[in-house]
Amino acid sequence: MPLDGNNNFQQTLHPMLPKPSLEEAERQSFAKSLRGYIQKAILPDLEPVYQARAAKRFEKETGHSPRDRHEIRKTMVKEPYFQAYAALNRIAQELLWLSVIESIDRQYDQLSATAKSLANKVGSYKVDRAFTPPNYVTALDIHCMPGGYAQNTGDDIEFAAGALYDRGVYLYSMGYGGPFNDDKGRSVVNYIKRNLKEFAPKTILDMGCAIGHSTLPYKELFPDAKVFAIDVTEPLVTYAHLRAAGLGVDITYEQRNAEDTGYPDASFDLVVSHILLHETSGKALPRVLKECHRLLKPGGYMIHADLPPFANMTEFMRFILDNETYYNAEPFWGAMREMNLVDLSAKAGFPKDKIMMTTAPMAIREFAGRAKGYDSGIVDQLAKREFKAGEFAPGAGWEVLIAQKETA
Amino acid sequence: MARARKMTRVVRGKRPMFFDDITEDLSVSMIMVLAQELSVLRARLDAVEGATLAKGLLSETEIAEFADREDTLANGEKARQDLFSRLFYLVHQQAAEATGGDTSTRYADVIADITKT
Repeated sequence: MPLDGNNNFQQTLHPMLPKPSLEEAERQSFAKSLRGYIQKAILPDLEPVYQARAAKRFEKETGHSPRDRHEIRKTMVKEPYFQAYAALNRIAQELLWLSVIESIDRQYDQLSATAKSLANKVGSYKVDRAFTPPNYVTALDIHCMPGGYAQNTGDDIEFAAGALYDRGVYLYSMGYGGPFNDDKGRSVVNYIKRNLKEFAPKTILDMGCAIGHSTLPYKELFPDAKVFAIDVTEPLVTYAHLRAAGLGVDITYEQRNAEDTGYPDASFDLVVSHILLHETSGKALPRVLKECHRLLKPGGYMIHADLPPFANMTEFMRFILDNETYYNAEPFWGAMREMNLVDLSAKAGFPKDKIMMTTAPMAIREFAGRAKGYDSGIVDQLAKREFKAGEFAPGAGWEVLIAQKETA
Repeated sequence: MARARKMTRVVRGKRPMFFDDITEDLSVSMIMVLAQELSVLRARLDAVEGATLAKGLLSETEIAEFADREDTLANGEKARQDLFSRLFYLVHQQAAEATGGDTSTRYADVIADITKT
């Protein structure tokens, strides 16, 4: 089987990024490459095996073929080929996080000292130890990251969970997000530059910014804008600040909840988020959209880049994608894809004719030649490749919800 | 002496088990860790051999630098993908059997057929 699109993309170092030793780097590459192999060489046979064996077995047992993704799951969990796929996928995820944790623990004191030297050097951050992160973020360790987003290691400057996320997510996305893993932010900014040509935001808010991967491109491409970014846990907000400070980018990071930010009405020209919505909840998501409407100035834009909805997908694709809900501690992953974000945005106050779902083309081509491993031939091959459901890949681009607030 | 562990290794959220027998899940996880360590060993050896060939006797830093070269990284990626192909031979066999209708019934039928007198 040809394994096209192999890559040895390398994340660009910055002062807060844990630097792996030779052995740690190989354990991390092993987890990253294992993910790539499972997706390219094991995943594609799931549907043929389903059609040839599991669907027929279900029909024999029930008298009808599986009607939805839940019935497909019912029969597939008994299928040895699926068992092997799902077990390996889970193990790859576990090995990925563990390989980074080892590396952070080894250099913990050094990273802690770097954190102290970088704090408030460029930009600012505000955290509050009395702040309680919402239950949907802390009930499970989302995507099986040990300790979750709120892990407390007892440091004055609580950075460790942020460092784990920074390196772990780069490996999870197999470098497709670029050497700074900022593809999502870059894609949305590119979309604005190409399609909303007159729009030059002066105040920008990035909601659910995690460690600020997607935040930095906004400052880069709108250098005159004041950029704020918020998230709900101390280590994420702290590390986001330290990372930006290490890279010399002026961002204001604050520990706040996107459902109720506490900023005054009409504070921002642009409110964005990247893969935030699917990590909220059925109750929180509509509240986030309402808060966006409240925070925007008249004529301002809300843009959320997230997972494509289940509509227009086959049941089998839905089943594959929904694996994350059950096997990767992503409790809202499937349910969020069933929500109608356009209707919810209208309910949040946006005019119906100013809401749309569209695609922001991936920025992968921009990374060619920019960092180690980002060979232009390999980048080009990746940009052209057709991705299967269940592969980590933005495919043609990121699914974005865009809405403009009524003008005054 | 074991290094101080600051960070947890445990994931909150009941871990699903995938195989009919839990010991299979445990075994596969251990096998994958062993495979990972084999990969580490290979990386280390590649680095040492490559460095030795290229430069002669070297310091630890020089070896690590050699491992981080673009051509070494590219060779490493190919080696890992090849390893996975060998490691999962049985998984691929399952797919081929399922889609090709190669069942134990067919096997028994063949025996019956071949041994017919």
